[in-house]
This record gives sequence, structure tokens and C-alpha cells, in this order.
Amino acid sequence: MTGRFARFALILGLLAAPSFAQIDVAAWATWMEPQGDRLSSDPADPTAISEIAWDAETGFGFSANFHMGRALSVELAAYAVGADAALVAPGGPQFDLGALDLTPVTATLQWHFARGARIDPYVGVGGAWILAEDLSSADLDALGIGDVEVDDEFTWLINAGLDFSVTSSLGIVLDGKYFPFEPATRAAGDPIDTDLAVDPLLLSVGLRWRF
Amino acid sequence: MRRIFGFVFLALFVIVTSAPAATVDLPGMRFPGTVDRDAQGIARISAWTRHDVFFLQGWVHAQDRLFQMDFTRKAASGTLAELVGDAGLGNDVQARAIGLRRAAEASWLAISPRAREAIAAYAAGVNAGIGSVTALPPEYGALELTRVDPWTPIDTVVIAKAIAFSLSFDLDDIDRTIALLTYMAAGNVLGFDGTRLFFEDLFTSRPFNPASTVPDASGAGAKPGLIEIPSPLVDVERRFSQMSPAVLPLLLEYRESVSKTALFGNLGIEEMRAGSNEWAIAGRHTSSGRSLMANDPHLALSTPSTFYPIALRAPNLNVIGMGFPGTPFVILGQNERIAWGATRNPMDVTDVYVEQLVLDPTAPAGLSTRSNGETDWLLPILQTFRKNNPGDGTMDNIVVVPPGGPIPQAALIVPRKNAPIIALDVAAGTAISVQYTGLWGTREIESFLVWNEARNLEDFQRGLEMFDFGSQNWSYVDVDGNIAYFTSGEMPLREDLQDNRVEGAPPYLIRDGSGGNDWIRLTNPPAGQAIPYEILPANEMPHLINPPAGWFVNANNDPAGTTLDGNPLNQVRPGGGIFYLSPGYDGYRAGRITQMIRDRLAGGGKISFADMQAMQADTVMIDAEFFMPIILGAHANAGGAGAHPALAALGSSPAVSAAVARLAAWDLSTPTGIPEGYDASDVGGVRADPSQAEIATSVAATIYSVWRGQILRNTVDGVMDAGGLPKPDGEVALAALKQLFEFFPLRGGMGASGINFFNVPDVQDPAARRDIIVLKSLADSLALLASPEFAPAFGGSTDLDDYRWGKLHRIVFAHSIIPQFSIPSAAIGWPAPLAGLPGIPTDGGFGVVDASSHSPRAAGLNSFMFGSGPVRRFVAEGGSGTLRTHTSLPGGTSGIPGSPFYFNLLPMWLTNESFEQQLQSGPTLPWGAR
Repeated sequence: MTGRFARFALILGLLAAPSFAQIDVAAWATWMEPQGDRLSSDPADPTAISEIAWDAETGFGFSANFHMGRALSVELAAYAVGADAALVAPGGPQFDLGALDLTPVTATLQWHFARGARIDPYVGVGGAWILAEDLSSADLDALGIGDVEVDDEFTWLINAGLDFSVTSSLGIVLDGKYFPFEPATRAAGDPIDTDLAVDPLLLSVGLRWRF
Repeated sequence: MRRIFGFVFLALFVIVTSAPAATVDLPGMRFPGTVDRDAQGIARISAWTRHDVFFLQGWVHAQDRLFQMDFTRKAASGTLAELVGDAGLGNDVQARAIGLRRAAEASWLAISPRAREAIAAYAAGVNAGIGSVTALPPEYGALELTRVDPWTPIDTVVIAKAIAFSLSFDLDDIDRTIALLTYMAAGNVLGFDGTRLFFEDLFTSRPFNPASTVPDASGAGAKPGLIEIPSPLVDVERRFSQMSPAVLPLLLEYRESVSKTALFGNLGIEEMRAGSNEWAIAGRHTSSGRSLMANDPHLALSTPSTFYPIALRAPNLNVIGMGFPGTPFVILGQNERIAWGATRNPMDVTDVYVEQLVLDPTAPAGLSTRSNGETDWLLPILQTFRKNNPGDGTMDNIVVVPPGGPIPQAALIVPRKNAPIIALDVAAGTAISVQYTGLWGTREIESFLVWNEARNLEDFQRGLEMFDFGSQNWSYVDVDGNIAYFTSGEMPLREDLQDNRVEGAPPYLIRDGSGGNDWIRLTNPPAGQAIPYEILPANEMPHLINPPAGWFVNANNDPAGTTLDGNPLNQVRPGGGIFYLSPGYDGYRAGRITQMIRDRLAGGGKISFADMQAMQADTVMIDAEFFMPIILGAHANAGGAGAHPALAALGSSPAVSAAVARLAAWDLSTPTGIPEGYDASDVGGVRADPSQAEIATSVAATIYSVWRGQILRNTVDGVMDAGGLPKPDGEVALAALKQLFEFFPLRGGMGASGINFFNVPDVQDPAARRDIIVLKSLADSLALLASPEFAPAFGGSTDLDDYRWGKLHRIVFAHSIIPQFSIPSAAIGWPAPLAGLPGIPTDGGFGVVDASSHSPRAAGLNSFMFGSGPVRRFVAEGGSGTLRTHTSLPGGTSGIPGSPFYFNLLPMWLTNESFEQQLQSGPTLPWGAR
């Protein structure tokens, strides 16, 4: 976890460099709801079990939103999220895969429909660089798999949210981001890749401060 | 969602009666697994980890074969009396002296952590099985026992060691030495050369048939890479003359003491002899274009059966075949890519020594041995013997047996060579020690784990390197169509042989323990080698990979052709030193299989899967090929002008002439000829009435089989009996008789010893003596068949038509302690088919491929019965990326009388039919789970 926090701090540092006139900063409580539930077929073993069950955990995030004109802004954000994963055997047991911990770093171009109003809905598109931790669990060890490496991946995202202004500076924001994320995975030392469909939906609620 | 470690639900589908699937709660598994029973009662185990699959294998073994497993571990460990009482004490004394249990403990430390984990999981599964049975098997009640000792991993290792022991340990050194010492002494008195009698007349190493695996398959017809040298046996007579007179009584006493023990008892008993057949045909010679391999191991045909069929599936493990109750893994079988089989390879890895004992107060046991001028303490290992007391009415009454009389206080070891003392005479200062490769920390059990997971030939050879003792011939076929043959086991190099000489007695006799002929000691054995001695390197062990001939055969015959000239010690290794493997081999079955393959391939013929099965079922007696012309020739000579009157009288006997006519029309096969008999020609495990041709053939088989015993009695055995001399093993005697006939034109029936083996008083002409004995043996046979001895079978009849082979050639699948549990037995629902005659009649006979052999000396009503044979019949077809295999089992999976699976597979085995093996399928884990 130390390395993960160090990366996170670095990202925040970059975000903190203001270069625009108006900046919103926000802190988020975030839930990750993976929309994917499959491992792609192992080319070496098409009968391999592929169903994944998820159990979301609460994460957090920080963002800075740089406004350009009345409707456009660029949001840079970073999150620390995770979900417990399990491999589901047909008609049988579930095998604990441990937590899939992700650090998505996003850049989103947002369109604000009512900037300055009390309620400001917005939508956005952008990109995400997703840093993934390896999967590790006692079950993986018992099954003879060991740790599973999960690749980092760059992907696109779509975004929507509502900004409720409480005062001229303070606001409460509801934000949702979805990005397709199907990283290559492999057992340590195994040359064969298997794609893991995570496709997370990040649902966040945050406190925003406008400078 | 998360499993609760230690408590899982097992979906169990056991068809024990007509019960539907049951769910069982088993502690100790890591994830749920399934045990599915197919229609034949064979367990198909699927689990998510290796731990769990071997745990479940232990669990089903305990459910089905608990008493058999318990009996085997105790026989091997020297604790059999704790189960069966006094009857086991003799076994325990000898088993503790040899020390397989001690060796198993050393092996446990030698195998890899991965193999230890698998064996420990299996042991835990056995204990779970013991805990889950509602009632112990009925044998325990009969023995007044209510509990079973927990299973330990060492129990499993000791069973594996005991099986390898039964396939590689031999008492032949002792038997041969008893014979040689006696012949030498008798020769001095009676005026013949006892040494030549032993080495040249009787115990010739020349096999009955010269089939030899590597030379035949290489197309070379010679021993590749080996150079012949003159016999180095120059000093045997002098050295044996100097041997202590205490030795012979010690040997005789020891041989007697082990003869009726569970661990040693089958060694040297011809109808219980372990053997096996295997052969393979490359795709270019098969009708399907895919390679074929056949294997049928010959072990005790007992109830329950020696093998336990099973299918195991876990990540990267999908294997089906035969295992031994008491051990995990599939021992012989197939996985998704390879199939393998085995035959016994009688490599000489046992050396027996005469040790000079000295009283030594400084030694822990008060005794030392002298070797190379130095004194070595004997190491005592204290023993406590216990025995059960069945029949006293007290349950679980197991008591300590105090030392005294035949019960020793300690086992004694010669530490320098890890050789146990098996007999000693302190007063005479003489002891007998035995050095044996299996007494070290060997890893053969791990080979099977490697092979269960093997993907190719390279993996198979990696497992082969771990098969340290229990010397075997391995046959291999894979999905790529490769066929291969390997010999395994660490073969120690002896100091004197490596120096191109024999120091005193050769290694197949008892050797002088005072030095000069030891195994060559290594200070730092290479990694992966079990014994701390120099061994024959793997590249000098006989082996073949895709041989030039496109086929190979092994049926316990000479793998390298080193004995075909009768001298196993006159070949030199490529780098120097005598190339020595074994003093002799069995060539009967290999000769017949080789003959059948050559016949089928002649003129570009092809061999099919069905051909392989038909060859496995072959019952032609190949020795008859040699002797039949002699019988017919003798009869023809008897009718010739100028025949000796005694010969002419025999030849003109109507009974003899009728018998000769029967033999002249015989195809040398051996059907039962009775409706109660099981023959390979029957279908679906159901007996059919014999045809007239089968009846005629069966009569000829009877006449010839009895003649074989009589000709031995009238030649070799007659001479031995007259002199009060020990007779060689029956197969050895028959090979000696063949040699006498072959040398007859030169020697006229005289042996190199100066003994006349064709002795007919008042007949001077050697050829007439020979023919008289041949026809007299036939007349004796007919008289025997009509005698009261055979009346329960033939009712004293002199009608040749009554002499059906099935009346004599029978088998009882014997239970180890309760005769009523044997097959046949009315008590278990399979009464004996023939009134007044024990056993089930089957086709087969002496030396046939479908092994069902008896002593060639057989001359009594029940002496044509057999007790060992194919414990599975297996044929595999590999190539084009797939494997297809068929197998059979002489019995059933369950050892519980009354179970529908007690003998359900036996009828099909009796009619030489098989069932296809199907690997399991289903979901697998991702990420290449190991």
C-alpha cells in the first residue's frame, strides 16, 4: 500500500499546479461497481472457468477541475478503489481471488449545462490510466495458481454528474464514471494471458471547493 | 461465498446399492470435490487441487479396500501379527530383519516436498474414510478387532516399497547357492562334477527362447555396444570349497523361515510368480496408422484384486488407470497425452554375503564383522513385537510378545553397506547379510506423480530417473505416436566386475563378505541418486525410442541379449568393466509375442487394436513347439525297422498311439473344452458350450501338460531325486531339458557334469534311450490321468475324450485370511463351477502369453492351477493427437463381500474382454493452475 499512496501523492501534486483562472477541487468517496464478470477464454484451455463475482469496496478520490469559459472544463482526478473478486465454478464453489485494487487516473473534458446555477448537471468524455495491483489470496495459492499479475491499461471513459452549490464556494457533487477496463492477467511466470473484464463504474459523492 | 476451511460439502454419487447420490461432510479438504461412481463401480474423482484429489483417493480406498490396505502395510512393516495373530509372527520377524519400514522412513525424507504433500493428503483421506465407514470390513470382526490404526504417510511409502520389493528382491542367490554347495558335495562322493552340473547342465543362463528386447527391436540381432570376453568364472569351486560348513544349514533354515510369510512367501513359487507382458507397434505397422501398445502385468490374482481402477482429475492432472490400494496416484494408465505400462525386469540388485562374525565386547550388539581386514560393529535396532489373539473372545487383545526363541530382541545391520543380517550362527562365527538397493531412501513412488502429469517423453524420462528400485521395463506411447521402452532402477556396480573379473562367486550366488567384491562406494553420490554406490549410467541401461524395427517386445525376457550364450558375465561395458544385468530371464511369453508380431507383419501386414487384444489372449504353449516334434519323432522311430524292442513296445501301445495322434493334430492352444470353463472365445463374460475342435484341442493340451511334468520327472528330476539333490526351479529345469535335447546329437544325453540324464537300464543306444523316455513319459501321463489322483476330474476314465483341460487348469482368486471370501465360493454368490474341484476353469497354461502358468512339474489334480496372471489387460492406441485405451480387471473395486462391485468385472476378464477408459471432462481453472 505504501507504493500505492506514493503514486497517488505524486498525481495529486501534479493536479495541484493551478494554471487556470477558476479551479474546483474536490474530495470523493467512491464505490467501484465492476460491470464485467468474465475472464476471456484461455486460448490454451477453452474449458477454463470464466465467471467472476465482485463485492465492491469503498474507496476515495481527489480531483481538480479547470474551467474554461461558461460550459467547458477539464477535470483531472485520481481514485483509489477496489473490489473483492471470486472465481465462480459452475454449480460449485467460489474461489476467493482477493481484492482487485485499482488506481484510475482520469482526465475528463466536461460540458456543464448550467454553470453558476445551484444545480449544474454535466457530462464528459475522457481518458483513464488505470494502475492495477496483482491478485493474491490463500485460495489462489491453494489452487496452485499463486499471485495473478494484472496489467495496467489506458482506456477511454464517459462521465456524468450533478453539482449542487451550497455556497458560492462549497458544493456537493454526485459523479459517475464508466470506463471499459479489461486488462491482461497471468499467473506469475505463465506466458499465457487471460483478459479479465472489470469495466468499472465509479460512483462518487464529493465535497467541492471553488477557488 | 467463501469456503469454510476444514469443513466442506462433498457431492457424492456412490452407487453402492441402488442408493441415489448422497452428500457427505468431510473435514480436511480445501474445496468441495466430487466422487462419481460409474456403472462398473469405478470411482471418478474430481477436485480443484492436488491435495483434494489425493485426499479423496485415500477416502475411496478406505471405503473399498481398508482391510487389504491394512494387511499390506502391516505385512511390509513387520506388524502383521497385530492383525492376524500368531500366523503373522514369522512374517514380522523376517520383515523387521530386512527393514522395509526403516527404508520407507528414509524414502520419506528423500522424496520432494510436493510428493510428500500428495502422500500426506492421501493419508488424511484414508483416515477420513476410516472415520466415515459405518462398520469395519468383516475381516476385523473375524479377527476380534474393533479399531484400525490411523493411516500415516509412511504406511503409504512402505506399501510402495513392498510392491517394488516383490518385483525386485530375490532369494535366488540363496537357492542357487544351496544347489551349488549340495551338488559339489554330492559330486565329490558320487563322482560327477558338481560345479559343471550347476553352471553348465542345470542353471544355465540361456533362456528357453532367445527373444531379447533391444536386439530384436534394433534389427541388429546382437548385443549392441557390448564385447564378449571369456568367462571370468575361474575361482568359484575353490572359493566355495573353503566356505564355512555353517553356511548351508543357515541358508536352508532361512529359506524355510521365509517360505510361508506374507512379504516373502510368493518369491520362488512358480504359480505365484510376478511377470508381465508389454509390446508396442509403431504407426507404420498398424492398420490405423496410429501406434499401439499392450501391457498386462502379472501379479497375484487375489480377492480383492491387486489393482484398484480409478480416474483422477485436478488442475493439470487428468489421469485414469490402475492404482494400488494404500498408495495415491495412478500407477499404470494414461493421461491426456501419454500412456504407460510395465513389466518386471529381474535385474540383480540383491547381493547376499557370508559374513565372518567376531565377538566384540566394544560393539553395541557384542558382535562385529570382519571385512578387508577391518572390524565393523553390527548395529542393533531394538524391536518390540506384538500380536493379536483372535479366537480368545476378547476384543482388541493385542499383547507384547517377549523376545526369545524365534523372536529376536533386535534387528542387526552391517552399517558399512546398510545390509541387514538375515541369519547368523554366533557359535560358528558366521552370518548372512543381504545388500539390496531398495533399503535406501529411494523415490520410486514419486515417479508416478510425475507420470500422472507428464505431457511428453521428456517428462516421462524425468519420472523414470526417480524410479530407483523395483527394476522394471517400461513401455510408453503418446498422442504423437511415439513408442518407447526403458529399463529402470539403480544397478550397482561391483568392484570385481568393474575390474573385468569375478572375485570368488558371481553376484548371483552368495558372495564372500570379507571384501573385494563390494558395490563401489561413492563419497558424494550425484544429486538424485538414491544409493551411495556407482551405478550403471542411464545411457547403458537397455532402452529404445521409436526403434528401427518399428516394434518392441518385453515379457520379462533378456532386454539386451546378454544371456543368450548362457554366460551373463562375458560382455564388457563400452568404457570397461563387465556389463552385468541378471543371471537369467524368462523367454517363453516374449518368444511367442515376437513370433506373432513377425507373422503378422510378414509381407507388409498390419496390426490392429483387435489384433493386440487377441495376442494378449493367446494361449499357445511355446515350449510345445520345441517338444512336440520330439514326441512325434520318438513315436515315428518306435515304428521304424530295427527299433529297440522296448521302444517298439511303447510305440505300439494303442493308448500311446492314440495320444500321439491327438498331439499331432494339436494347434498348441489350450481351451478348457468344458461348458463350465471360461475361454477367450466366449463373449460378454458368458460361458458357451465348447465346439468339437475346442474339445479336441483341450484334450491335447491336457496330455501334453501332463507329459511335460513326466518327462522332467524321468530326466532332470529323476537324476536329482536319485541323488537327493535340490532341483532347480521348474522353468530352469525345462530350459535345461531343452538344452539336453539340443546337445543330444553331441552328448547323447550326457551332461557336462558327466551325468546321464536319459538313463534307461540295458539300452545302449542313446537315441533309443531318449525316445523310450519320451514315450514312457507319455505312457506315464496316461496312467496318471486314469489314476485315483485325477479321479475327481476324470473319474478314472481311460477315454482320452474325457481329459478336458478345464478340469485341471483352474484358479481360485484367494482371499488373504478368509477362504469363504475367495472366488469361487458359495458364500459370496459364485459357487465353484465344477463339483469336487476347487476354482474356476479357464483356458491358458504353462508359459502362455495370457499368463496362467503353473509349475512345469505339475503332476497332481490341483497342481495345474494358477495363482498369478494379468492384474489388468491394457491396450493403448496413440497418434494424431489422441489416445484410446482399453483395460480390464480380475475382480471388482470393492473388497466388501456382498457389494455389487466385489467381482462384477471378473466375468469379462475371464473371457478376455475389456472396457474403454474415458478421461474425465469438465471445467478447469484459469491461469494455468498447477
